[in-house]
Amino acid sequence: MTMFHPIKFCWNHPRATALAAAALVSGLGVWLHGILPPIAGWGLAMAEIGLGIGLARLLWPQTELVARLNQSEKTAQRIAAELAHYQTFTDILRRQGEMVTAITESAAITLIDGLRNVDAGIDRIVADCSGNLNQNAEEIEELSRLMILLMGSIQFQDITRQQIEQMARMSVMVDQHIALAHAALADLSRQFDTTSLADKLDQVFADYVMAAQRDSHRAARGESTDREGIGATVELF
Amino acid sequence: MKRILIIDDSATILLSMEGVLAKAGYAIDKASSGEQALTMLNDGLRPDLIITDLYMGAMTGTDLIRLARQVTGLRFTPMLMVTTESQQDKRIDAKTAGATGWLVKPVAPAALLQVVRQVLPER
Repeated sequence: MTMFHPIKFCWNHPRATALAAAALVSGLGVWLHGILPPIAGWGLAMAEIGLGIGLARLLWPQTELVARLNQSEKTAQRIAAELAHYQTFTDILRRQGEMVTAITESAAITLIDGLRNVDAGIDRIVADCSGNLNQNAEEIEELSRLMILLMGSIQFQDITRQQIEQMARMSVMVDQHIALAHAALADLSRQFDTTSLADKLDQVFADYVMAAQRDSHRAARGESTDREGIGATVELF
Repeated sequence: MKRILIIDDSATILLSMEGVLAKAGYAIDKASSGEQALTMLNDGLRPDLIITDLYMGAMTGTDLIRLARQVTGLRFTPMLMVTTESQQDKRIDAKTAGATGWLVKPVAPAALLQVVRQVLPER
């Protein structure tokens, strides 16, 4: 890509032409003042100024336009570089999300294994202490109930895994969009005709499976979070 | 002892449900995909109840139920869907495919056991 050098640009191109033209007009004026009678001097001076302004008007706008185009190009390059870093940022987020999933899954499996071992241990103790069972029956029942509750609660890991995976899919979608924007900024002649982020947000919404995800999405967009059309958590057909 | 086949691509869900249901006295078989479960059924496994997740890769729980209903001896076997999905139209799809019931994750152990006992009464 052509890099723009502001100093070099200003003095080598149309602005310089404008100044040279003004100098030429001024020189012409001095020469005319020298050869014509003094009475013509005032009129010539006015004509001289008018010609200078006309030339400046003709050449200055062009110079400003090119300068602004070059400034836009510089800004586009800067934004493109920033977007490249943005993608690194989302990639890091995804990798860290994967780590969280792996860690919680491993911990949840360890917990369940531990709970099952404890449960089996309690069963063995109960079998060995059959004579005293009546005294401790309520306590044993309570322990058993607690054990089942704990084993059931490990389901949290699957829920969080799905939420993290959904976030990763969303960040990939945004990354792809940013990559297209990046390419369009790097080459301003290229078209940026992809699905808008607003439409992609709608796609994301359609992919949710959990009511909580849909609610947080609606809240982020400033919409009502009233849960609609959600049936009972347990339903027999 | 009643036999229950649990299908889920999450290792923690499989272990969690196995823990809860085994403690309640059920024999448990597990599969981590619809394809694996279907193979087990085609190979002769005849559970008294099937509990399946909805989203598990290529074959969904709804697909699995639809195909399992065609396996000899499983036409009247209760099949429950356990999923995080809360959309009503997915629930209707599952019902049409032959699901017996729908449970939204996370399922409290007491609620799970209540439903299992309801669809799998002791004879």
